[in-house]
Amino acid sequence: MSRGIRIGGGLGYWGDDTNAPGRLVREAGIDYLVMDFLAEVTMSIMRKGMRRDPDGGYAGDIIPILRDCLADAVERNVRIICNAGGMNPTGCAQAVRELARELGLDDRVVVAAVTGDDLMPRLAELADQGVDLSNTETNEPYSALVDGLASANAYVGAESVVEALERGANVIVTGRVADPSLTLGALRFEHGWKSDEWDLLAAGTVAGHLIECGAHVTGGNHQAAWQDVPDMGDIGFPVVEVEADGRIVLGKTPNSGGLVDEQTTIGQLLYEIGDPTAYLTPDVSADWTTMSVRQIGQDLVEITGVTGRPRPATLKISAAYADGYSMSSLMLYSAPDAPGRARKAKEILEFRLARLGLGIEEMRWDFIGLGAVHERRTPQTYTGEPNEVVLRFAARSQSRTDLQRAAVELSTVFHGPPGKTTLVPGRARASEVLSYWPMLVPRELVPTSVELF
Amino acid sequence: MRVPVGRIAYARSGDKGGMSNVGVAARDPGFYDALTRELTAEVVQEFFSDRAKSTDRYELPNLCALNFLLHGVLGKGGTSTLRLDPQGKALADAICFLEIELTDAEAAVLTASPH
Repeated sequence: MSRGIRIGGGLGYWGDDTNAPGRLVREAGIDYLVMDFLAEVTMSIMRKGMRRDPDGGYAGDIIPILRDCLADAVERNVRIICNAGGMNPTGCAQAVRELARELGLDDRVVVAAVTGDDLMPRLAELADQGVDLSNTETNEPYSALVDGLASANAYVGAESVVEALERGANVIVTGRVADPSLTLGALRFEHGWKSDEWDLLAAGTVAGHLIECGAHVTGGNHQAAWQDVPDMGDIGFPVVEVEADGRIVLGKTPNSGGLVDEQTTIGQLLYEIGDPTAYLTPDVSADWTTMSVRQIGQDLVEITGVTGRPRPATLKISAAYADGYSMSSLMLYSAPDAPGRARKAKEILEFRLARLGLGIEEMRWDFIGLGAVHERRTPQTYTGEPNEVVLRFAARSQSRTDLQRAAVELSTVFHGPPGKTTLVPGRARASEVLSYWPMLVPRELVPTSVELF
Repeated sequence: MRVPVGRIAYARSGDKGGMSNVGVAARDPGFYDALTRELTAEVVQEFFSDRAKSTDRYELPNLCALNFLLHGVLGKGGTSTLRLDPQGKALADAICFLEIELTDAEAAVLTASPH
């Protein structure tokens, strides 16, 4: 049996700890560092960013992360695979190349950009080819979108990561490569797994899924027993060691906080799955119901017996469209009778906003401190009057002007009940809303390409 | 004995467009039968009926876990909902408040265990 390949998951989301990846590179004996920057929401945010700065549109945090660890990674022969490229993998790759030059690593770094997932330039062509661009969740036709889509990216698989590694890249930045496919790409390259070895591809997908949320599998967000997690302030990040036969051992950064046990592992396995017998990725339909999860040592969990079936014929498209504006505002009321004061404030504002006759599509009032998150599910035993209540107002409109007018009206509530404190200075501001528009496209219509820098 | 789900299980939730998944895993394999018996799709749908249009349930006996798909709980999705917790991460906590009935044998396991 060949040696297991050790892959560290350096990041759970864009905005996560920029020191964690370097620590994995230096201390965890890894062969690969994988970082997942993208969520459904992230692509929309990057699209917005690109309108302001055409050279942006990627996860800028990749630069400070690599500034910290690129030299060490090159020294230790650790290859880096991430989807920091977002909407602009080429721009991201050029920035990494520039950084390598600055660090004196120019001749030791081969940067690859994986592109092809961005379908915005190709929507008309796809429609001409008979591709159904209807919303797969709501069945609305594409023609319902007055201004069309703002972004559309196919979730693509591991092939282009494998190709980049074959061509000698040691830093790979991609666009919307599916989260677990980043890890699977490294494993396919190292273990020579074929594109139809479904059980192995499924095992690699599970390995990727385990590390794609960073420290969520090492004791962060540990719903089962968060109070028992040691040294959470210095939480370690996950490492999977995956053998050629698909056996996985999950661990974490040595000498770090947090913990890895069967519960943290199962909690992560359950995250964002649908039908567990068919977890669909661009690479495989993985079956989550055949694997065994077993603690084999301190902070070490073994996962075996993963199976898979052929990959889907279509790729999922993550798309977003401009859908008006939204705004929210927070008003803090203090004791005595904080709940009564907040309720009266809502009553006054509802009256005043209605009187203005604004074009507001949806309005929402929350009483934070009185069960705003769990609503009617808040246990009856959670009683007692809070000392403070935050009244939250949120609204959505196609008109920015109407929301701005509503924001002005909110300030009038200082002439209402006493005890109001401003939590965020200034008037609430309306921001653009990008709503989600999922689609499916036949996979053969989405070729990806690899460019080296 | 009636207990909240959180006594015998833990959960994790996340978003997929306007849908949220809530995975619930038994704290001890001995509680998996109670979960599958008590946490039917109908019970969970009723618990979230003010938010979810429908609920599907899937079983993962190998992990002593169930997975629920709550359709429509996030409106048009995490970027456009006006809700607090736009990505439905707190639904995992909410399901742990749901009260279920344990048999005497299951209750005995619970009172003997440290949790």
